[in-house]
Amino acid sequence: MKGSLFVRIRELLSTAKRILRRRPKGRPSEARKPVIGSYVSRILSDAILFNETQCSTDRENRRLDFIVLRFSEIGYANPQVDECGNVSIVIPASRTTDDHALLFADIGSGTDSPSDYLVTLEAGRARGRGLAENSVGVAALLVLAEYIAAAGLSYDRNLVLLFSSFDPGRQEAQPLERFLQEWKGRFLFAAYVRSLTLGRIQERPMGTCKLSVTARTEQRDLMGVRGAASAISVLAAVASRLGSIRWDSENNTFLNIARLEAGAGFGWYAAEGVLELEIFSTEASALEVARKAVTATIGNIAAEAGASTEVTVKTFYPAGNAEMNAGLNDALRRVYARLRIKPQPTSVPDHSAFINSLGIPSVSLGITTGSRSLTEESVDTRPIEAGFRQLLGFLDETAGRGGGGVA
Amino acid sequence: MTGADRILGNTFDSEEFRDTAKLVEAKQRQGVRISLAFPTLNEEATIGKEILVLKTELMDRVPLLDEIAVIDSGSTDRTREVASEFGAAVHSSRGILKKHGSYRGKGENLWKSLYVLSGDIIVWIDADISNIGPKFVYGLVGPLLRDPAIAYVKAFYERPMSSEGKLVPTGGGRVTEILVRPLFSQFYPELASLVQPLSGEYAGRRALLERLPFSVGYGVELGHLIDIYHTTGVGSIAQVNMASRVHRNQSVHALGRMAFGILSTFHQRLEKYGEVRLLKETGRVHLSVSAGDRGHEVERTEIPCIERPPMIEIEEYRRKFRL
Repeated sequence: MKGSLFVRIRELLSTAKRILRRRPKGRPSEARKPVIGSYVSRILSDAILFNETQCSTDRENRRLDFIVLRFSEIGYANPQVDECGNVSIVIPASRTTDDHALLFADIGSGTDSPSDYLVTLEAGRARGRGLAENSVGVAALLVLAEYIAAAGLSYDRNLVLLFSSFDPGRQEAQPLERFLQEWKGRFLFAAYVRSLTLGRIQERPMGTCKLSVTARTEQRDLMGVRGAASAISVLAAVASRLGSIRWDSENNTFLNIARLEAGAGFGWYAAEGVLELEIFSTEASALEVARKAVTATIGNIAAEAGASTEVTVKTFYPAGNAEMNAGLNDALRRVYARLRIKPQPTSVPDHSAFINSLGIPSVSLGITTGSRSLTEESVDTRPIEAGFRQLLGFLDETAGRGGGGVA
Repeated sequence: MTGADRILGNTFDSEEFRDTAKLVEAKQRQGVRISLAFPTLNEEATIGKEILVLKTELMDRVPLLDEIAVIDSGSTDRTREVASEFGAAVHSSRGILKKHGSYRGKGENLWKSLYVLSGDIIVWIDADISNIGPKFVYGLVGPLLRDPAIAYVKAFYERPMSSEGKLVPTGGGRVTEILVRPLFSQFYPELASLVQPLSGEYAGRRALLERLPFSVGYGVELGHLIDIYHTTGVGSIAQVNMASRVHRNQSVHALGRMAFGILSTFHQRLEKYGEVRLLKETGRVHLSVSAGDRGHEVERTEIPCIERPPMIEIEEYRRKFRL
């Protein structure tokens, strides 16, 4: 008798739980929203398909084709494609306004061998060159557009979703820069949606100065060198001296030796080489001072060694304004608190710092966690759902629905 | 029109069927169900990605596929767990139609899949493709949804190289070019215009597939083609260009065993249709020679040439599908 009563109570509790589970939560419209979890596999699938979309020449734009096709499949019939390789759509605000919010992702060049970019998938992790660099960010932004369309969401600000590219190492005009120059409206703020790293908050937008140093010595016979400095020893001395400098007392300025390439290999005297380095700083004046100091140091070392050097500034973007981003960062902290994501304050140079340097408040939103090394890139697949919720939460906080949002 | 011309006339590019919304419309108009199955044996490295991409693109985003299943031959790695995690229905080949026993081989998995799948159109895709994309499915079902006369569609892969402004096709695989195409040229020239007759990705109408015997091993694809040639004719066969496929490369020894199995099926079909009578019983063991520490050694591999009868002859199947 006791047993059957217990069974009956258990059944009643289980029925009550089932009914409660079925009840829509929140506002009535929330109940009709598509299930976010089901969009995670779409992000992963798009990241894989996009990552493996490569082509062998600059003339093919298969990555752009992929984005344009996906847009048309999810109901955005006329994405704008410009001659620089930018693809964008505008999701109109729910009310008449000139305010626009920019969300953008970097599509990279996509002109490498497809086999280098094949993705392997295992429990909790996806591996493949390009995934951590940009493909998950691109996929998340595409799926955001899909989700907004499926859920019928609209915001108080016009949303511009942009797929562009930005390589500060390139000297020709940057597609992202061109897009911003030619944009007629006003961007209230921008968010760079990138693969890594979920939880990071850019507290201080860093300026960037990229330098390329070419060193040349006389051509010498290998056996008759007798202590003369080669291009390798000159550049190594430059790298060693610059690497040991502490640039300021607060560690707001950093120098990174990015690449050193010199010499023709065994049996040959190294008469020519290239060193690439970058200086980052949160302070505009410190960046300029550091650049001058680096150039002078290189000149001194070259003179001592009897070599000739040429220093070329590849990119120079001034440091941004941290205060300008404060409202966005506060909004992001609130989103992280709701999603129980531990915020990691950081200062790294990225596309959002560049946008900030143009006077537009800007943050970076990493979608997941993962790693990048010389030979391997991997992303964790489980945090992607939190990363996607972060995007939606961030839009709710900043682009506003029903009067909300940052001013 | 010759048979070869008919197959070339039924040659498509997967891009022609890229508009999946149109395919879904055709599918719904025709009231058919489409099933996808992967025959597997130790494919943990690639199966998860194949299922994730195809399920997301062709079940979640557009309802082209009605089910995805894995028919496993007894993997010793995590193939079954991974497939299940990513949302496929996982079946052990041994557990299907138990009364009829079990053999190890891809053809066995395909034959048994007919019993567990519910679709009117069945798509089979090898589980070792590294560059999987939805084209592998929509490319195969497209011709079937477009043309009722087509009943069997094979994939082929051609990444033409550009040379002096001309496109140079890369052709079929090694076993195809050295064994199968010469045999087809001699006996069934109509089938020789199939670019990759042995490709592991193909789709067919259940109404045809249930009437075909299945070789349990390597000869399943070749056996199908010859049986279709003799029954519904080459006009019911189509082929679709999938551009490129990245997969595991097999060793020459493995290809030798495959060629042996294919040749056995070929002999069997020639005798079945009274086209050649062998006067000597052929061997059932594949012999290969390899150089080892103790000199050259002969390796013997038994490759049984077992045939499963047409599924429609199986009582349980007729009962399940009310035939």
